[in-house]
Amino acid sequence: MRCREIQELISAYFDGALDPSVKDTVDAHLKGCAACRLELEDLSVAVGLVRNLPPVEPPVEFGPTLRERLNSLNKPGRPQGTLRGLIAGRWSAVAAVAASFLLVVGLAGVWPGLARFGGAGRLAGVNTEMADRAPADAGSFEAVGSAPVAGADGAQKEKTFSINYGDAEEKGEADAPADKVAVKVPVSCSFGQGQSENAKIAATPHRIDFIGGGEAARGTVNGTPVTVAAPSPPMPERAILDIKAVDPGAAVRHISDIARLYGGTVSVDPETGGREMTVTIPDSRFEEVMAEISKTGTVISDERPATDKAAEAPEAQETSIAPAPLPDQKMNAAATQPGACSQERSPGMSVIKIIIE
Amino acid sequence: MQTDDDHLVKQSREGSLDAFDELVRRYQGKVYNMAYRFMGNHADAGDLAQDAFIRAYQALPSFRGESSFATWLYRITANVCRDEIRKQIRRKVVSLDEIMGQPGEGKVLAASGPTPEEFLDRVELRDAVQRHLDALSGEHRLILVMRDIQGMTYEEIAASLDCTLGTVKSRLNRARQALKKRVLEHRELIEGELRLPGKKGG
Repeated sequence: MRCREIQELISAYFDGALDPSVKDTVDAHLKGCAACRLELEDLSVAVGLVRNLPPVEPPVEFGPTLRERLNSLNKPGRPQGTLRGLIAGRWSAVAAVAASFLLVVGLAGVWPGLARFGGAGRLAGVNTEMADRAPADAGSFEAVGSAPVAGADGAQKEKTFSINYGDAEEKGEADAPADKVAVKVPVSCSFGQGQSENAKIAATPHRIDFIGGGEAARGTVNGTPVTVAAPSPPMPERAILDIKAVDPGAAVRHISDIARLYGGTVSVDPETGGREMTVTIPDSRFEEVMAEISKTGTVISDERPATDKAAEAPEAQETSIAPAPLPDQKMNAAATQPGACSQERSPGMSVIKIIIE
Repeated sequence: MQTDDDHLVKQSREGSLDAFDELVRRYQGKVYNMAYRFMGNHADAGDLAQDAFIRAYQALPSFRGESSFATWLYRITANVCRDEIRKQIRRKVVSLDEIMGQPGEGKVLAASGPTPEEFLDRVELRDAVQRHLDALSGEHRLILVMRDIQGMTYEEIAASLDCTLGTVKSRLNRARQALKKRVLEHRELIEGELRLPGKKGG
């Protein structure tokens, strides 16, 4: 038998699943073939890595949550309820206007070294593909964003993270008023780090109650209160900068530094491979930031979209650049009508869109 | 354990949620583990594992006891995974660091109770292997999870995937080759953490 054929059998050989005569043939080949012995060894290392993965425990609420769902089924053989259809429509609307958000998490319980985490941010991109699916499957999308974080030493660091909204789950009575259905949404939050040396932060995903109609979602992650405001409409850009940079990666990092330095936030649109970014900084620093950013490369164009929209009444969308507010502060994001796209500005913040060539 | 299970299964079929609860308690570890290794994150694992148990609960009337409850349950879990492949729902966690070309950092990780250093060490290796799994096709990942995570026999896998033993052998071979290729290509992720045997050493 030639090496090629031996390698097709190597996996079954490893498992002892070959017929005795075939196994003998492979044995004989291996005795005289270093290359195939190497293949076998590599295979066993790879398989070993997987087999040695530690078992992953379900979170404590797994059993109780499952029990709740089973309760609503009542007895074996009964099909699941269809509350999903009720909430699917609203969920699509929420996803469609998703652009910015508020995230306040008290992480003291999870990670003793880190004081508080929180702040305003802007979603870099929202995958709304899921939101357009059939009602039974609707209700999932993911979002990527960043926010300034107060570390244990009080210094501000930029934290990146993503939020995944899982399939909305039915809960509550089918005859509850449509705009007040409490929906349990599995949310996973992961927190990466910018350029700091801090340890990775992890949050076990947890069910968070999402209250429809644009209000905040709140729940707990490992016992720590978490609040996620429903996404609100995108903020208009005050400037759109087109820059040619010698080293785009460095330019992106430099611009992020600028944003942080001036007390703002930055987000990168993953769909564009990191070439489009949005910087949100205080109004008062707008011109300085524009000047700084312009130095990162050659400015191809600098557009200032007309802002003839009257200044909206300041909404309760707090942009906390200062150390984060209390962990269980209720975030009453403006109760936006799902689907409406009013261009409201966060008080005092300017948005700059940057395209890096 | 087998006969205990039989008793609980019987009671569950008669409508006892408490009995089924106990079955859940016994097997949630294994089911969740399969789900996690297949989906790669806790949120999806939780959904999938719950779906598996709910499907099992609803299918109790047709469980004939031809296999053990456990085997039957793992087969259902594998089916839920297969359905996920079809739905092509793979929620990938994207971090800005990854986009900007730095080593991917934002990921959902299991929060346990070790020191930060221990946490990072274990997480690094675990994370690297899981990422290899995540990078495989759904079919390959599923059969690897069935065999090398859950330890199902070739026969059980064949029954679950509704294919021949020959197909199991060749698909598992291809899956493992794919994994091996990735492990070799990204050795720097593993080498620091593992003493590789023999000639690979160090």
